[in-house]
Amino acid sequence: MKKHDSESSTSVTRRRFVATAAAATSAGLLAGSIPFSLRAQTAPCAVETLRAIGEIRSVRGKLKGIIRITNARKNLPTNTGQQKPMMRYLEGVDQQAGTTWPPTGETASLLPGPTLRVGIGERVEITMLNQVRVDAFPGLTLDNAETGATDGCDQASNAPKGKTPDPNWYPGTRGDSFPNCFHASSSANLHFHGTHITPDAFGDNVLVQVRPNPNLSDKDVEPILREVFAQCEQHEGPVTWEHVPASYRDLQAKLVREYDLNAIWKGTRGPVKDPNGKDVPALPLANQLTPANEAEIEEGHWPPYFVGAYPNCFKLPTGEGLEMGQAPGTHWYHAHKHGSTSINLFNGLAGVLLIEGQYDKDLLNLYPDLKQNEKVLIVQQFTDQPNLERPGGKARTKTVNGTQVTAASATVAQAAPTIVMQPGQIQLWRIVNAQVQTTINAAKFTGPKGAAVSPLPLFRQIAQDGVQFNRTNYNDQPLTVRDANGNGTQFDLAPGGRIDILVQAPQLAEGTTSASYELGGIVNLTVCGAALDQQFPDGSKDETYLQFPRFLKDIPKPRRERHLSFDWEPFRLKNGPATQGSTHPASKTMPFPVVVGSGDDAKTIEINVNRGPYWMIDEEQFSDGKYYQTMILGDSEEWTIVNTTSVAHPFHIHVNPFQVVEVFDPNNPTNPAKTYKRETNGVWQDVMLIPGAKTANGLLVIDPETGKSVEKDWGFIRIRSRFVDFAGSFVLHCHILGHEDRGMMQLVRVVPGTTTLKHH
Amino acid sequence: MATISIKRVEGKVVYDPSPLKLDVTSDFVVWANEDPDAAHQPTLEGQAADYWILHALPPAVAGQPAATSAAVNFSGYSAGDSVTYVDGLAPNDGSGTLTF
Repeated sequence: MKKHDSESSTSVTRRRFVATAAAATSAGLLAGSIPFSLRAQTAPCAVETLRAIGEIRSVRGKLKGIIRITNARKNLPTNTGQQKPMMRYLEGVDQQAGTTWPPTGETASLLPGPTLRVGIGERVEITMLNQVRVDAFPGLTLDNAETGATDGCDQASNAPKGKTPDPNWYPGTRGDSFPNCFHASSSANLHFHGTHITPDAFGDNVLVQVRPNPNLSDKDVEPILREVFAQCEQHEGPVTWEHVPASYRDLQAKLVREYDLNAIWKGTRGPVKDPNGKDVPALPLANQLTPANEAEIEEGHWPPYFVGAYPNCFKLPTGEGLEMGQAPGTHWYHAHKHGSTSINLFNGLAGVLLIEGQYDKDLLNLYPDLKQNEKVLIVQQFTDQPNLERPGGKARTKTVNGTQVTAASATVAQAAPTIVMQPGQIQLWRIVNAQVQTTINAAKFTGPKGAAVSPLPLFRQIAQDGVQFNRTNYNDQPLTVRDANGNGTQFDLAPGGRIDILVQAPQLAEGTTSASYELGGIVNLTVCGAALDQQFPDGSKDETYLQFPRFLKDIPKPRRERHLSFDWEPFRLKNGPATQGSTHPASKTMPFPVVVGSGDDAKTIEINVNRGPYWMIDEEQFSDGKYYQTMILGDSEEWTIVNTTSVAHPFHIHVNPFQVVEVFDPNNPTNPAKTYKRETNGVWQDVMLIPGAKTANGLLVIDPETGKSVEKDWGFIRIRSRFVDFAGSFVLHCHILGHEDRGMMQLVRVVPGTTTLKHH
Repeated sequence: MATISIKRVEGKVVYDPSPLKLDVTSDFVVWANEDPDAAHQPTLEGQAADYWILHALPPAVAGQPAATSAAVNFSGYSAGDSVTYVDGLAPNDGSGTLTF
């Protein structure tokens, strides 16, 4: 292991990412916590194969790290071709510990980014470098708006055996158009999913687009970003662009200008010389980034385009002086550029964000060895291109902490990493569903090959989406299928969702030395070694349970209500084209036109068999520069969000978590785990599946008047949220990320409710 | 996704690698024109230049990334199949092979 030394700091090198034992981290402030290198101890009776992911940790109140987006050929098991696919991935540097992730020689592995571990009240300072080599990703992965080849979308041709090729397969034949198509695959930003921080400036800002520049190193930008971070520490709230240190503004102006000069467009290789021999941009004016940035800056806005390096800096609020604080818990971060969110997560651009606080201290009081045994699991799915760009689907590779997971059958055990526990032991498992589009459904413990065995491991859910359960919900276990003793037995986890569970290993049967179990789709468990007698937290009174932050008290029913609808275009059915008033799947002849949207936003689209549905919210696909929802800073609101499609959509909104007070699943109206009302003690979440509309044999019943599914059949959720502490612009969207990239997203804003107008 | 470089070696057009073995179920192919002397447009032998790809790839420029084609997916092929392709702009200037 080497330290991150100065002479090699021109780039992020891969050395073993093992935190120094002496690091005085935030976790180190928590009694009983020990450094990363000493955690994940394995019972000597069996080998634990769950991989511990390298961490970037806070030291003396600050996390300082580099997150670098780069690329390499990857060992994608589903690819048997001669060339391994080129994919992007995250490298991390802990600038205080001097360590890097992933380990040396592992660039071909399918790994997540480093785990970030930081405490409530502490600062995060991330240097995000986009060093993707675009020329290593031909064709689909350029920012095609600047190539002039398409209107900006990725471009794919289909050449099937024995049939006439379709050179306009994607986006044309599939029906996508800019900006709601797969595009800008090498542009990125970072979303800190689950944080309650400003969405503007250098906070959780997903409205910026950071274009790649592989030649810009951390050494190049370090002195400049040091100024930015220093200012960030001094400044309460987001800075305005004019107050950003001039060195960074100048650097970006130069880099963006160079990008305009040199980007490819219609085969013209820049820079182009004018008649006087002066360099002029290769890009046409409409595609240049500099004028777009200058126009925004002129209006006092934050520029949208950056090149190479972007700093993220924010403080995780304790809640003091604010209406909400940051919930300590299991959160995550990932790339979030509209159009490339799905491909970037399919490439693995995600990692866990652990925010520690009183929650962890209370758990440590109950289980002094909790941190040594804590398990952090990130579930991902990998592929090199979205399936919509292929004529046939392709299996994706599912991993947990970088190890491939394949399902069990009656004859084959589940292939997955293994956790080892002692009989009777309790461990904290934090599970992040970082999959692009797949819900973890009905996860439960079984014996090997899914066999029914007894006893099984027990679990109690203690947090959802990084927000801990209050005592009532701990006792009720409302999001699990509960057994007679109050233990959870089964859970679902939407893409983007997180769950914290305390897992207790069962005692071994007499005469046996070990037992094996599967947690379906996630991990295997081996139980062996000396028996322990640990107990779940006593939820009978406040004194014996975890403290619950006051800022997470119930939101009383707000006066202000809002209604949203997650839609696809009229007449779209799961398995085919239109129907009118029946479940007959073929009452229209393909292709056929339909009108979507209304007023100025109305457009006619063609439904044809080769294209995927248009995903919409309130019957509109996402449109740049349009605010769809405006909330007043400090207000509470109740939202009812319906789903008119047959697909369950995971609703996600940035910045503020929400309480779920009602869920209606028309396909499971009497199942209390699927349909419920909870006016008090609503679980705090930031991703919530909106159940799909009622179907019969997979088909919707269509109202001939509206062209949509019948209103009484819609699934819905009712949520309450406080739009407090942070004004600014952010997004809500479906967390099936292909849906988000293709239009199921809205730009929203929170504005101060005060005015300077005087009525006298 | 597999990449085939189009190069000019001793005056002749060369596809590298060729033959190229593709994953039957999933691989895309992208051609990158590294030839500074000519535009190219890969196509199935005997077909028009725009059979697979709508636009020709412009010549390479020193210091710039090579122009690349749209990604082409070959569905329905089976292990053992092969495809011969040529430059649609100069069909007699050599050929390349894809195998499955």
